[in-house]
Amino acid sequence: MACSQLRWRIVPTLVVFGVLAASLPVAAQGDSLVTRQSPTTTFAQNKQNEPGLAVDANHPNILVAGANEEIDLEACNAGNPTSCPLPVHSRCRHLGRVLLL
Amino acid sequence: MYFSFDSGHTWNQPTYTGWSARDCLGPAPCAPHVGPIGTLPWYFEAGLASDGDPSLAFGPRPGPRGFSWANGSRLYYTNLTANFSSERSEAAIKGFEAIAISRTDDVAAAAAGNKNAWMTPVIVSRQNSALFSDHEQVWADNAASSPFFGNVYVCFAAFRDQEKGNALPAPIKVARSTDGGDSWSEGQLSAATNNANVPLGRQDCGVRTYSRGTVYAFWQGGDVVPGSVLNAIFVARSFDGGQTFEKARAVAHFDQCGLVDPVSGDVTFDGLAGARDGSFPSLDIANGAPTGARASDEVVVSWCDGPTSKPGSAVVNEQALVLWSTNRGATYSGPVVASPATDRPDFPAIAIAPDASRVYLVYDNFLTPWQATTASARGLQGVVRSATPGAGGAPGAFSDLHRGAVGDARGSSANSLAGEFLGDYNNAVATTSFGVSVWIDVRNAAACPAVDAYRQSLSTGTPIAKPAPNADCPATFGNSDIRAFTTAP
Repeated sequence: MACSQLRWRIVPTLVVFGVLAASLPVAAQGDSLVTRQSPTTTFAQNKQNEPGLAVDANHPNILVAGANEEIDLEACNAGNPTSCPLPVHSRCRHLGRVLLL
Repeated sequence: MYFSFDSGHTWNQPTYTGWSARDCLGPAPCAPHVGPIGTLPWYFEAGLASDGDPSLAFGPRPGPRGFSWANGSRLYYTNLTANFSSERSEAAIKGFEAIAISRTDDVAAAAAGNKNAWMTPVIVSRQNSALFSDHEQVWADNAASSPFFGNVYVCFAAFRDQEKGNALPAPIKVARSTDGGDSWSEGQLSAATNNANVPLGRQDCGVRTYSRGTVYAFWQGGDVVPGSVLNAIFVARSFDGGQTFEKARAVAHFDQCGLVDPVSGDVTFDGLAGARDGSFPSLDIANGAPTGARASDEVVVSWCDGPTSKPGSAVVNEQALVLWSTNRGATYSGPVVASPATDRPDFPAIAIAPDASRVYLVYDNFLTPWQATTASARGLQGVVRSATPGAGGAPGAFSDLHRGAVGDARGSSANSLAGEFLGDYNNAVATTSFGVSVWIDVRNAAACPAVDAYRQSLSTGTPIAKPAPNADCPATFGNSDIRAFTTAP
């Protein structure tokens, strides 16, 4: 949202499409799904990210997690199918480069 | 939010009521209404919208004689918060985004879907009409040995000029509450102004306490050194329960992970129109919670250090680094490299056991270099590692505890479709007997050729028409999830 005003102006670069090559290794299981109510389909209701986590030090079996949770946003195909609802969790990024004075 | 009562093995997500568009599945235009929600309750009723940047902490519940674990536990949940209404006359807060806090003293009822288990949200940040309060972190002093036991701290970046370039100045602030989150006062940790010649603004803070109550706040910013300004990790401590802070100092410099993306102008970890990233610090302290006994008060800090190799290079430069202090932050040792040489660690998060017996680290590992094309898969997996601190507190050699299934980061998305989106962080916690980590996972998110082509075209100046994701893509496009790994038996 508001951060869109803050981007640097970068000259677009023309990049040629490469060949799709997707031979990715398979990894182990043993983890668990936290966002259990999330549907697997229908963007953006199926989108979660940026997990927070806390453990109760006095009852360490109790944990609570948080996330950027979009399960309650309208689906992109409600109304204009190319328009998706915009969440606000966009951070104002203006860091990341070393400036030589 | 999501609850686990078995040390992180299984999770459940309650459903409350609030402002919902959950049943707006098209093709009809959406008419949101009061209905089921899977997020924090009582925001709509307060004229607010709960946004993002979740942060959580447990502390002792206040009682007639002050804070005590005997009163029970209180859960604190902070997030960015905006006005629900766009009408100024109906505004609940000033400015663009505020930091709000939700609290519950009954996690069992909250997990069961009882909305009344949650108190109504309280605004933490002192707002003005131009302020965008951003990327907060909450912590509760949870060591009974501390003279400030029960105090709650929230650090955040205060972007004070949202309407103008880069939103500067952006000081780091810490708000504190001594009454369980009912009321807040705030102080400023860094300068109020940013030098126009110093573009490396301040943000991405974290806050913790040690067993005797000293508050540690870390963040990233620009450190002016002769001839340049370097990316740096800063720290400032408070010895009076968050009322005042010492002068901030840089404890490490770093090279940014990621490259500037021609499409977004942001720094991305994996390629053109890729996932934005950061090198902000994650921290934890072995404060002996809940009692403070057996506290070593070792401080551990982790971040991603680059630089990322240019397109066409397969050289892996990124590292998850760990810095530590065993003298209560007077000096720091390290850093050591906590990731293997073949990993590209994005969003490292660290936790240390309350007795410093174990350190845990989680990150998202990219299996492919930064790519200038969106046509190739971008492998991503969650990784959990651990180390045992040795003599002098040095973390020792890290080794894998877990590697999650691999997915394709192109299957994640910003809602604009213009790039991938993974958020900004992962998280980990540690007890004396186990650790739990959570990360962003894309194993069940399918990449979409139509979106990949659209993203690529945005770099050409002649972009193609935006696709309709729910018609033109595989059904699971965008399906990024949160997954957890626990070492508990």
